[in-house]
Amino acid sequence: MQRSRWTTLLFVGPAVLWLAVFFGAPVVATLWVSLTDEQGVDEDSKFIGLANYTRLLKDPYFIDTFWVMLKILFIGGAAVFAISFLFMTILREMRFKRFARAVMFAPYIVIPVALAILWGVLLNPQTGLLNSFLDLVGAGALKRVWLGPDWIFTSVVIGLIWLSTGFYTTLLCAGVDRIPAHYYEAAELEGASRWHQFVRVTIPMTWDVIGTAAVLWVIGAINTFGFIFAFSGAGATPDKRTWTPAIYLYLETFDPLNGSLSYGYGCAIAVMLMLLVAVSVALIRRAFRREAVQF
Amino acid sequence: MSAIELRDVVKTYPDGTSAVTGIDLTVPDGSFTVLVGPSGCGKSTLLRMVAGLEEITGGEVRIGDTPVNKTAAADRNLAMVFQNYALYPHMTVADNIAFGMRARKVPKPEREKRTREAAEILGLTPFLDRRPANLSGGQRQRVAMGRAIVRSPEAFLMDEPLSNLDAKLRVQMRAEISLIQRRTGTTTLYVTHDQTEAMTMGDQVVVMSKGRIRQVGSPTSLYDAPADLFVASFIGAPPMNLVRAELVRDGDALAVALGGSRLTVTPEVLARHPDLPSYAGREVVVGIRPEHLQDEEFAGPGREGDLLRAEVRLREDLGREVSLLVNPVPGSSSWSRLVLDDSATVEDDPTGAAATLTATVHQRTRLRDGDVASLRVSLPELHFFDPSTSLAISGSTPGSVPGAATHGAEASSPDSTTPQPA
Amino acid sequence: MRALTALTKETEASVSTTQLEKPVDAVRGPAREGPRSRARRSVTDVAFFAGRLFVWVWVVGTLILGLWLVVASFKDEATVFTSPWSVPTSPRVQSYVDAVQLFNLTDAFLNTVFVVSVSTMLVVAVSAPCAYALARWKFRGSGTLTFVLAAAVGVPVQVLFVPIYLAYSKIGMINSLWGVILIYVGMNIPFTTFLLVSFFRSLPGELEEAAAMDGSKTLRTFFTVMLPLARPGLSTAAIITAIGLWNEFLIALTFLGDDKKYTLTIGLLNLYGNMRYNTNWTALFAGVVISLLPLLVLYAWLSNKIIEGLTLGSGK
Repeated sequence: MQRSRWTTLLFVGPAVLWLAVFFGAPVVATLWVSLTDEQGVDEDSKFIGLANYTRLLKDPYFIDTFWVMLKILFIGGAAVFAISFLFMTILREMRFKRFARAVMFAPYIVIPVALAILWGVLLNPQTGLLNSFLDLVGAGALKRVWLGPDWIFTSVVIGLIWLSTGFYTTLLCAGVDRIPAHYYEAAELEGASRWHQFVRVTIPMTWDVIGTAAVLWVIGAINTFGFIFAFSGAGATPDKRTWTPAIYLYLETFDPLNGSLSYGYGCAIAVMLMLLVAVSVALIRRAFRREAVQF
Repeated sequence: MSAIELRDVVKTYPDGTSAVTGIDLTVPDGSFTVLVGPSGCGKSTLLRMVAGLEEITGGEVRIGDTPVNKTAAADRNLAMVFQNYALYPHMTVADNIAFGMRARKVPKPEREKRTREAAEILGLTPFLDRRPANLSGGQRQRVAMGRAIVRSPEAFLMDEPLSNLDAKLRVQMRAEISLIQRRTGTTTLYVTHDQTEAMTMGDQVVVMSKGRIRQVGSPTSLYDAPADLFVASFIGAPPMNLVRAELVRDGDALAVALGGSRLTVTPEVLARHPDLPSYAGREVVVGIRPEHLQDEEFAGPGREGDLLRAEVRLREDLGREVSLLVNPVPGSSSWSRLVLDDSATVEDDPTGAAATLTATVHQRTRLRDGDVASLRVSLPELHFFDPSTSLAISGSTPGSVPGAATHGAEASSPDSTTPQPA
Repeated sequence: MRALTALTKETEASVSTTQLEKPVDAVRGPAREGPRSRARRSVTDVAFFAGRLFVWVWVVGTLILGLWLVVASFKDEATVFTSPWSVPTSPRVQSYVDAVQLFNLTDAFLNTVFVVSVSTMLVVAVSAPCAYALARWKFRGSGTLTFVLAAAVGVPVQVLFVPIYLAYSKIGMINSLWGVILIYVGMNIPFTTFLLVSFFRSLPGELEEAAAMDGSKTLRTFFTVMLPLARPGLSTAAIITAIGLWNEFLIALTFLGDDKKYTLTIGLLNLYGNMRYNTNWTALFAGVVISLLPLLVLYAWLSNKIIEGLTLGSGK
């Protein structure tokens, strides 16, 4: 159908303009700033090439945050996906399925700070609900200093699992619900066991959804910020054992407690994060690539 | 209201596949022209090009006297009825009908008056405040019609408007659409794959296949004088029997040798197919419509050389008539049937039923499965085709350019046209 | 993982044999017959029971945590942690008064409502036409634009905020709610456009053709036919955007340092931080309740739509 060029521009223009100014330009600028020693708004900066990046690779703090991120990504991810698959299969044939799903999903839409406060209240060693509950049921021996150095990271990861699982369970459930029942009926008639149905019907037919879920988890895990920032810092600088690259980046660039603000260095971290996301997403997409199944 | 003219219209998609080629067609002012053909023959594409929904790759489309190739659909002042009606689901019936007038800035009182009138004609008055979702299929179809007639457009374009209805409703709506068209006298271009619809509704029928026009004419002329094997097998239900047969010399007359029987080529036949003698001694394709094979017992007096002996394989009682599937009598020579395949090509039947002909005979026939039947052939109604060109063997019918057939052309029978050179 | 999937298998098998009264065992083969199969069945029953128990512990635990917080917000500071499981006989609303007064939660609430509603409206208003164009038209650059949008969905906010911060500092836009709104809109355009593209694609194309035949031009068709039809998609997109922004943390923390400009997330974070100097836990809990209430009401009302939008939307 005929349409003037102006019409197209009218429809697409505002979004493109907005993206150019508040998305495209900042990304390019971040790339540039990461190559400078930008210290602050009023400071002069000069081009220092890849110095920020070489410093990054030798920075023990950054390397620590990188490990934290990897642990969240893989250990947390394994737990989230294992539990989500379990929940998906159990929810499918459970009563009050919608209610259970709605409750599980709820943390995903709640302010991360509020979740962090809740989680903190639960785990506070002196006044926390968990320890008081353990006392109540006579299992005082299991009490731990959950927010202390030994346990803080575990507590964070379990918290992340708690607030993420509902989302991924729902995502997988949505994928399974789209599979027409007759595939299962046919499999049943052919004598396939439930295990075979899971492997031969459920997994292949939700393959795309699983791939999407994996992509989302990776993006989320690499950028983990709000929950940890609020939880392990209780409103102040978070515990170093739980710093993720995103938190480190924020502290390097904006934390008033930190003496020297280094925008250039922060931007280098941001670029690393972006590259990491891009590479991981590309890898996952490749791993999950196959011909689309129509059903 | 205006005539629609298509001159050498071509549609080629960017990937190089061509949808239609070399279309020349006149839809006379006020006519009901039906484009019919199997799916993929390009009929919908042609309609959409007239509508302005599809770009025209080559040639010219004129509405009235104005070329509209570069005119946007919205400015062509045509009305279209879509296969699935395309009613606006969020609007009431009244708003659906009035939408086009609103877009063309017809003043409100006028809009309301015309909406009411259209609703009246279509029996939609009680439903004006309903949404399409709360209407039956037939009612939706009427709303779609209402949307078309309310604007008094240059022409109605209809793209398989009945194919979503059940069989009974389809017959009813078929009549309603015809009546509305006669009442308004609006030029109508109607697309269908259903040859019954084409025959019953159109005063001009355009048979298409593989992106080309095969024949243009009145329903009767197409039925009585199909221009080629495709039209012969496509028009008519059950389809015409097409068999390979040898044209033999029988004394000083000609005869068709068919499964041990000999059908005489009478002077009457020769008069209709004057080119026939030049095929003597060669193989031709003979076309016999099922109703032209009658049980001898009920067929009335015949003449010599009009009997076909065949074995009844299956008898199907249809109530008003009986359909017989017949094979050559065992021991006699067989015959070879041609059928229309999915790609709109007429070719030798690849299935085992290659020798089966269909005869539609009198309801009281006593023929049963296994009987050897004597079937009387209406010799003047035989059709002959050249197997190498698949064109009708004629010579008597004046060749006419497709599109030249005019409105109400039934009178001058038979006005078949020769197909486009491939 | 292997143990887990094995568990899944057993539990599912037990459901079909015990609940569905179908002669499934017959087709399952001899492994399931005789006394052994009975023993196995009871094992699978136990496994399935354990699985369901896990689900319920999770669900009930989450609920208790939330309810505890609500109850605690009505208790007094003295008993909230000393007898954490008690229920107050007379609910105390002082914590709410404290929360509102001491921590300036009214401003934070109003700021959040303002920022979230304006940003959401702008995001949808800007994304919808763009999504429609991408879904329906082929124009120069449409492929590139689609690719750029897809890539932008995965770009972390961290990559954007340093240069914007530097630029805002220069032109005095720090601590400006409008400044944050501009960023929020930019951040959300890619995902919202993506969501709406797939939504517009799902609408029947004949409607536009019908409108064109009716004499309607592109703009009229968009506003009177396509937009009304896309309403479910638009509201899903709006809800998802609003939830995301209501919870947004990093940008607000970076750009809104003035406590008059706090949003709820930042207000809460500060409340939380203050606990180390001036403990008023019940007020903190009251603050959490206040900040969650609108979302939870929305969620209770539209949970299915929200869940669907968030999961299917991200699943494209």
